[in-house]
Amino acid sequence: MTRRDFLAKTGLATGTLLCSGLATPIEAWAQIGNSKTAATDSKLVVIFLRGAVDGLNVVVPYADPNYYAMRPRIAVAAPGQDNAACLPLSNGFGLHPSLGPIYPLWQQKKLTFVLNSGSPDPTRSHFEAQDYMEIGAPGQHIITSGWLNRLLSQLPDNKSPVRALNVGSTTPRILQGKSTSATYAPSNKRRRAALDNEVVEQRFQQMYGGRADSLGAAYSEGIAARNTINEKLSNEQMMANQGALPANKFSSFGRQLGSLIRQEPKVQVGFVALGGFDTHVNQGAGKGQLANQLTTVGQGLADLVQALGPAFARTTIVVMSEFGRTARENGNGGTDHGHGNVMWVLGGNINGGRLWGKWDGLSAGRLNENRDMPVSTDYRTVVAQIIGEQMRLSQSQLNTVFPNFARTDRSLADLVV
Amino acid sequence: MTPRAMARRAGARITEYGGGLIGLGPDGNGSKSVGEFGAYFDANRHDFGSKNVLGHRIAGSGEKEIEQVLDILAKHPSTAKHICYQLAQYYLADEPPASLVSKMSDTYLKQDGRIDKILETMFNSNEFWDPRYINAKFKSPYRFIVSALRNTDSHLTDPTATAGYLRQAGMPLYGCLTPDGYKNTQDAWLNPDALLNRINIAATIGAGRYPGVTTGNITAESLADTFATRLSDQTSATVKKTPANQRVGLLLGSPEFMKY
Repeated sequence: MTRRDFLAKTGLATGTLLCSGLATPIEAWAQIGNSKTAATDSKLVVIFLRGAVDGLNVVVPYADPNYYAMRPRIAVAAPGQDNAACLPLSNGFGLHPSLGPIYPLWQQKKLTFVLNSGSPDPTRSHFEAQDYMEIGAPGQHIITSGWLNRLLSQLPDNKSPVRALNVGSTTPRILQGKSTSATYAPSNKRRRAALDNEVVEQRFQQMYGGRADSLGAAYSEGIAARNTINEKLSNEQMMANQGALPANKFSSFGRQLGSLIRQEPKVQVGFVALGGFDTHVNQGAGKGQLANQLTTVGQGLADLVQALGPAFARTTIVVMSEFGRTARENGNGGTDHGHGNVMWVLGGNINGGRLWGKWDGLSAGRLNENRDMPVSTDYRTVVAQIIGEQMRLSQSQLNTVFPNFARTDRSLADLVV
Repeated sequence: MTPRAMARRAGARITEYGGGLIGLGPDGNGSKSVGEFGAYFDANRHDFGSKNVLGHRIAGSGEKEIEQVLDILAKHPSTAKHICYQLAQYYLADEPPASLVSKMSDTYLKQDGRIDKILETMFNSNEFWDPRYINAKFKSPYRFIVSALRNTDSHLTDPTATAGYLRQAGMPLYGCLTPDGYKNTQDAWLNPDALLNRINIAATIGAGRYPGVTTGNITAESLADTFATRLSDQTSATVKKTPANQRVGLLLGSPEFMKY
């Protein structure tokens, strides 16, 4: 329309509709303002399953007869076929029964999976592939910081010692870099460390506290993080000590991490690594070795979501693994190192209840190198979509998190609400 | 030059120089006669075309090419600078003074890469004795745990916990994935969690309770003598206020012990 028509229609030319004409634009600006503030509250939790979890048994392609032909001993039964059958998702895919605790999230559309995703680098070495996935720059060894640490450098620094929370006992590659992160080892038995003793702590405080150098700073940050965690979790730990001690030390990771994040709004990122997924031998199907490992993950994730409470609305949890496994079972009732895998995404603000990614079936011609799954969606596309939208990162900021990564894949444009 | 272009050029060079090395490899099944360093040269697999290596033309002559290429690389000023930088960084500071690296490189090139001469240049330099560079390096996890055990005259009866600490600290023994080895800079190893962990371990060793380690019978005085050129006022004052039987642990966890 012509400018004159536009002005006539909105009444701006005559001036009579000036107020109501402006009302809508102001409202829109107010909404943008609010969502900018909300964006800085957004949190990302990364769960890394080390050892290459078997994605084909996590999200089971039960409608594809090739699946059962390739895995006579370890295929998970189709829904309703036996008492350890998968739970129906959509499009002929099912969820491993051990992940039952998170199935309600699928039904509430807060859980989804990206099929045939992962790292484009062809390495099938655990250490190398984990390194590449954590550095966020597959195939090179020059960058040594982790992408989660680089993400922190792009988020507003709220000066909290626990803005990055690592559950474990060592700082993983993904969190290595200039920004500081707090490490918290979940345990049901509190082993007394020397610094837990106040008198001892005071002595070290005297030696380190007054130093203006990096040693002094590191000491102070470490103590501050430890104090914050202890303060927020003291109730949690008391409860854990009174109950029976679970066998797997990570079985309560979900509850503790979720509580911490809920009680400390300044947490921006979290990380947990779980091991035991390298199932070369006797993997089992709906029940067995893999099933047992997945039980920990499923329960942990359900606990995490529950403990987050209202914070779940602003949190996204991404589960990844360095690569997938072979489509065919091997001679030992297990699977070997593969390529493409499934990424799991849970969050208050994602479009769940449907599957994402590109799936071409399991016929021989469609496998990668005639042995495993292709990577049709780069893991960085998944993460960039989430952090770009929810944390309002610019393209330049995303380039810092994932250098030399061209975001040409638009297939996940609607992943985030 | 863009990173991609640099990578392409580097790749081309690798192909070019690598051509000189094709045919050289380990003897897979022990059936061939190997050379001095355990490598076997299979002329059938070698590329006999001529190559251009850093401006030098190498005629395709077989096994002799390898020595020629190695000589060219070894005598190159960039090699001299790189190795001398690494040495100076290891001994002095994360960012060693350029003047020292330069002096050492000169020695390298003039003395055919003899390491004793290069080290002499370093030890005799003004930079080496500059107080700025004394105790300036932050210990890697390996150096920390080994120095803690050695300085206290301790014995390792079971390496499990010690090896576990190295893994936990991100420096598994001989486990470095990349060919350039573990870094020895502060950036690579100092973080709040790692520091607190070292302090807790120091106290445990001092108390004689570190698994697999029999802590040596050493006094705080002799320990301080062994590792410290000078203790800060705060550290000295803290040691004085600490009961005698906890001083060793305190010193092992002190800021001074974290550096060398």
